[in-house]
Amino acid sequence: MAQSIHDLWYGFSVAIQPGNFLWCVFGVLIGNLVGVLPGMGALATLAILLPLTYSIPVIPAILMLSGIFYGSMYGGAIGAILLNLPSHPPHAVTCLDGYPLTLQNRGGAALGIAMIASFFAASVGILIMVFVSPLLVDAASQFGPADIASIMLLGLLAGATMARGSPLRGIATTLLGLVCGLAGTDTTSGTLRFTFGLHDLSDGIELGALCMGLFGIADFLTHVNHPTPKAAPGPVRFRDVWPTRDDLKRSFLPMLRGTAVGTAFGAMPGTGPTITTFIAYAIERKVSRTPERFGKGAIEGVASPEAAAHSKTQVDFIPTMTLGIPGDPIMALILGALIIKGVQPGPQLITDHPDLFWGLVASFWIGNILLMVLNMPLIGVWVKLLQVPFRFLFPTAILFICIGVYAARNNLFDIYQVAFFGVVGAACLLLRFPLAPIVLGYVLGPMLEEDIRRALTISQGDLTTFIGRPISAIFVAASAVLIVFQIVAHVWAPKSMVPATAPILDE
Amino acid sequence: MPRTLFSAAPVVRSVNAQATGLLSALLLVLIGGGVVFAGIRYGVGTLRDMGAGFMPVVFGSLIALVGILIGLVEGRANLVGSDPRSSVDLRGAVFILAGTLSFVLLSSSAGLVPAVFACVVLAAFGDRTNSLKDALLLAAAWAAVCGVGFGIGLNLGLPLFWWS
Repeated sequence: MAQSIHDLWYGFSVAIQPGNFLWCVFGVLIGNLVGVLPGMGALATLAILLPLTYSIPVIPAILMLSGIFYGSMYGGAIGAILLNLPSHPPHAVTCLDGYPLTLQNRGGAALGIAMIASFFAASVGILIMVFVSPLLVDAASQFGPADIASIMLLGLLAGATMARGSPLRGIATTLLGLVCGLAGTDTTSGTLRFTFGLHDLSDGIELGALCMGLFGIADFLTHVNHPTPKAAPGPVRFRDVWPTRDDLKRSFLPMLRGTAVGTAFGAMPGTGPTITTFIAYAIERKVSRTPERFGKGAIEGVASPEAAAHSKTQVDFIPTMTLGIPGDPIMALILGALIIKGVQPGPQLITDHPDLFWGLVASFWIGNILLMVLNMPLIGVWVKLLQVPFRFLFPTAILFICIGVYAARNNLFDIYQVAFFGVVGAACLLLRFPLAPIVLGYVLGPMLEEDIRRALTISQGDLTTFIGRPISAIFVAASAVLIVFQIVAHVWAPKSMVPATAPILDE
Repeated sequence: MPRTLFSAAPVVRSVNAQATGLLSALLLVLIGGGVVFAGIRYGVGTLRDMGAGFMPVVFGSLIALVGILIGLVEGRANLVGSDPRSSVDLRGAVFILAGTLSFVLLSSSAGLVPAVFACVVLAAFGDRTNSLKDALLLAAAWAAVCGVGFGIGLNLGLPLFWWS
């Protein structure tokens, strides 16, 4: 406990170094901006800015990428509340009550509550990260390769089946991602795998190119010339942002409940922020004494989901940083960036790179405070930006994708990869395959292979090692339960619901 | 002018859910089979000493298996799915890909500025609501910004023009 506080203090000294602080500010601002812009997700932005991190040291790189992630969460609320734009799935549920509040000229108060709830929830999430991570690291020092492989198995299965859409399709794209991760030179035998005779593929598929293709180009390919929601914001002034005493009183308990939901789900791999916010909203309506107010501008319906999204966002970092197992595609991308920078993820990360871990945690706080302070006066600017039309936005984004992916390795071949994965991604969207599990699989593929190989070498080829060790057995059992649950849910579901026709949005 | 070539109504193909299911299943079985085949060629090895092809064979078999399951589950359900993303606009898609590829083809030969211009103008032209003038202006603006930015400041390692 005291050690954690001491380490956190050290983290602040790392995070406020100008070289780190400025990149954190940059990431947070960019994240906030894209969070506001419809049609630009955090994942696409992370992918586009990933090449920028290749030329800077690892700490500012990770601070910036993380800043984009949580910064975009603040921005998304603005679009949802002021414009009824559910373009960012985690905030779709915020539209339900946020927009009616805007129509009643109380949009400013809704934004204020969203900011306060977000900040509170993020702070709780950070505190949990500070105190839980060292405990998890202690536990993880007992983990062998078999245990790690089983944890990854559960993470992959949860990521594949708990996203929206058909679980089978999620498993299919996870597996495709795993295969993509194996492409290139096999580290043990030196065999070239899935390179199709292309020398440029011998280093494997480029993470940035994969993500930009799947979440940038594929998105534009399927969105172009389709009607997009029209934006018509009302004017919001700075002094409107202060919620009334009544708003605060009403929002306090929902904020706590939302934070609890977000934290609980944050610990569960594979559950995106979207499902978390929907559950938080549902709980709020259930416990409310006046459920009929929901959907017509209940401030509780803004506070709880926003809190859930933000605590989830922070807690999400725990398994990624302590075990090296990312819970969702954004974490997979951040983990990928760590690996590119030569940092070996896993339980030893905190001891090997205390400046990185504690600096990151401290930067969360700095970033969140900045977002609170910046968002209020900047709301007017964000609202203006919301009016940049898609027809100008996407050609610009394509240009930045091309330059970015080229600049990463000074290799034009990578742009062909972007185009290829753009087409693959568009085909997946048309065939209703979710894209996010591909990235999770891609990052975990080589790690999973390595751990299974080591586990089986240690056990002399005995497969029972995965169920013989207690920790591994727990995770294998949990994976089995997950599969059985999916089968039961499928058999019991009304037949008309079998093919999920809901649009697959990526979190 | 390509404008007249593509000015017909957007190409919208609504996809039947059953057909989507069967097509997905078929594709997965083919991909899975291909991965297994490649894995066997890389050498499977033994459990104690896994070869380079071991995991590809495992993953490939699972992909094919999932494909078969999707075929069984969705191939029978006779439902029409309506998904806002179940169609791709042909003009938009062609121009977006042309813009992306033009950047690769032009940047090493003609230079960065022409590549930026071609990339943006082609991509912008994929949107039916963009006029030729809008597309040209947007492209010219980005070409100027990139020319100045990468010419004076950052060095990308690409020539700005074909003569430089």
